[in-house]
Amino acid sequence: MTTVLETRKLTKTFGGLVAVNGVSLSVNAGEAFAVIGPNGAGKSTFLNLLSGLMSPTDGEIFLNDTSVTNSPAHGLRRLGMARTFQNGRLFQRLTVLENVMAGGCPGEGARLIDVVLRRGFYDRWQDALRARAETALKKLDLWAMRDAEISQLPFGVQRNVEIARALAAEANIILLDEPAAGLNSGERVALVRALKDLKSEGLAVVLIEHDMSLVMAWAERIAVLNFGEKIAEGTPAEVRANPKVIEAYLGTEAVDA
Amino acid sequence: MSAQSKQWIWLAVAALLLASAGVLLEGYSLRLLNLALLNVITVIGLNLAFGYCGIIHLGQAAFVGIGAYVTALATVKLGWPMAISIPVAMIAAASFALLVSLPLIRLKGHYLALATVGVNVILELIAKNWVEVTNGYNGVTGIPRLTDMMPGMAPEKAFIPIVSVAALVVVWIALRLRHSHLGRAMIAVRDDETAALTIGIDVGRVKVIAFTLSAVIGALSGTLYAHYTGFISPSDFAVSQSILFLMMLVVGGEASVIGAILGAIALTFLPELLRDLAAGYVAAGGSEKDLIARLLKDGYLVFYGLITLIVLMALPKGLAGLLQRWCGRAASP
Repeated sequence: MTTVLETRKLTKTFGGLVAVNGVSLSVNAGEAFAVIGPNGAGKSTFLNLLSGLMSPTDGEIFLNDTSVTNSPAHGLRRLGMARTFQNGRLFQRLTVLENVMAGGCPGEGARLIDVVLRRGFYDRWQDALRARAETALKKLDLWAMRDAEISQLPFGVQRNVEIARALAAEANIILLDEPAAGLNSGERVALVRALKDLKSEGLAVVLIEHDMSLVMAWAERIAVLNFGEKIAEGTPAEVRANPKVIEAYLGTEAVDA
Repeated sequence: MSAQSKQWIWLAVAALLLASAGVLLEGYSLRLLNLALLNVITVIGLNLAFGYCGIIHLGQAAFVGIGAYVTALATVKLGWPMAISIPVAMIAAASFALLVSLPLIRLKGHYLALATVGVNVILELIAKNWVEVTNGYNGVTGIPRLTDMMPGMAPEKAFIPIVSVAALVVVWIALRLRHSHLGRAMIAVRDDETAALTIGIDVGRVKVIAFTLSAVIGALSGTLYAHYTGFISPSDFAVSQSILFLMMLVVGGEASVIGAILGAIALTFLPELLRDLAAGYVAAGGSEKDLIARLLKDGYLVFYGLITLIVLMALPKGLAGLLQRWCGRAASP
C-alpha cells in the first residue's frame, strides 16, 4: 500500500515546552486516519506542522514521497494536501463558489495580459476550475447556495464549505481539524456522511477530533497523542482496549460507546 | 443575462454619460471632471492593494508622482515623444514598486502603513531637493500636452475623451482582474492569510503583484495628469494626497470598483460644491462677514472632513454600499 503522508520523529518545542515529541506515523492512500488526545496533547500543533504553517524543531515530513519538512505552506496544495480549520476560516468577502475556487492557479505559463484579455486557454482553465468547484459543492449539497455570502450561512454549512474548498484542491490527502466542533446533531450526521463519501473517493483523510463516537464509527486507524507523544496507534478496537489510552484519555464511559 | 454582457452595458452607459458631460459641462466643472476621472484611475489602482489585498497603502501619490515626473522630465529635458515617455514612466513606477514591495510586504498592519508613508515622504524630498533634475519646489513647466494633438478644441474639453477612455479601460481591467484567480487570491489574502496559504496561495507573491499593479495604474494617472496640466510640482504628490486617495476609496466603499469610482468623483467635487455654496449664500443676500459665509468659504474643509466622517460612520460599506441597498441586491463588481 502506498504511503501518502509520513512523519519521522517529528518534534516541535516552544521555548521549554515540548508540544510535539518525536511523533512518527504514516497514513496510507485512501485511509481514514484519526488523531485523538486530550486537550493540550499537541494535536493542533501536529496538524500545523503537517500543513506547513509551523516548521518543526526536529524530524521530517514526507508528502507523496517528497520531503516537505521545511516547505512553505502554499506549496503543499500542489503536492496533494489540503486542510480545514477548527474555527472555520472562510474568506468572508468571497461568495461560496469563489471560496471554493480560490487558490486555483493556472500555473506559471499564465501572464497578466492573458488574464486581462481572457485568452482562450485562460477561459478554459477557469471553466475547468469552476466545474471542479461545482462538483465539490454538489457533493456537499451546497450548489444551491453558491452565490451566498459567507456571513449569511449557518455555522455547520460554513464548515461544509470549507470541506468543499479542500475537496476542490484535488488533493489526495485532506486534514480536518475538529470538524464536528460546534455542530448540532443534524449537522453531525451530515458530516459523518460527508466523511464516508470522502473515503469512497479514495482520499486519505486525517481527522483531528475530540468527538469519540465520531472517530470510533469512522476511523480505520487511530493514533493517540498525550503530552506531545504518541502513546498508541491501531484500529479503533485496539486503541479502545489499550490500557495506556484508557488511563490517559478515554475513561470507561467512552470505551463502552 | 451573463455577468460579462452586463459589464459591457455598464461600461457603455458610463461612456455615454461621460460623452454627454463632456459636451454639456463648461469651464471649471469640466476641469473638475477631468481631475475626478484621473482620481478614479488612481483610486482603482489603490483598490487593488488596499481594497482587495488589505495593504494599508498611504503612499499611492508617490507612484502617481513617479509617473508624472518621469514622463515630464523625459519629454521636457530629453525631448522624448509622449508615446515613449508614458510607457517608460509606467515601467519605472512598476520597477520601483516591485523593488520596495519586496521588503515592505514583510511588514504588517500599522508598520506597513508607516513604511508606505515613508516611501512617499522620501520621494517627495527627492523631488523637492534634487534641484538639478527635478527643478525642486518650482516643479516642471512646459510639459507637452496631450490635447495639443487636437488643436481645434478647448484643452479642457479635448482632454475629456482621452481621460475617459483611459478610465474606462482601467475599470474594465480591474473588473477582469477581480473575476480572475488573482482577484480571488487578493481578497482571500486580505480575509485570512493563513487559510489562503493552506489552499495554495503564495501570499507574498500576491501582495507584491497587487502592490505593483496598484503603482502602475497610479503612474498611468500621473502621466496623464502631467500631460494634461502641463505643470507639476512636488506638492501634487505629497502624503496628504495619498491620504486623500485612501479616503476616496474608503468613502466610496473599499474592495469594490464601483466604490472607487464613486468615492473619487464625490470627493473631487465636494470641496468645490461647498465653495459654490458659500458664493451662493453671499449672492442670496448673506453678508460676506457673517459666520455661515466664512465657514462655507474658508472653512469648507471642515465640512469636507465632517461629511467624510459621517459617511464613514453611517455607511461602513461606503457609497457603494448605499447604492447596493437602493438597487436591492445589485451585482456589485
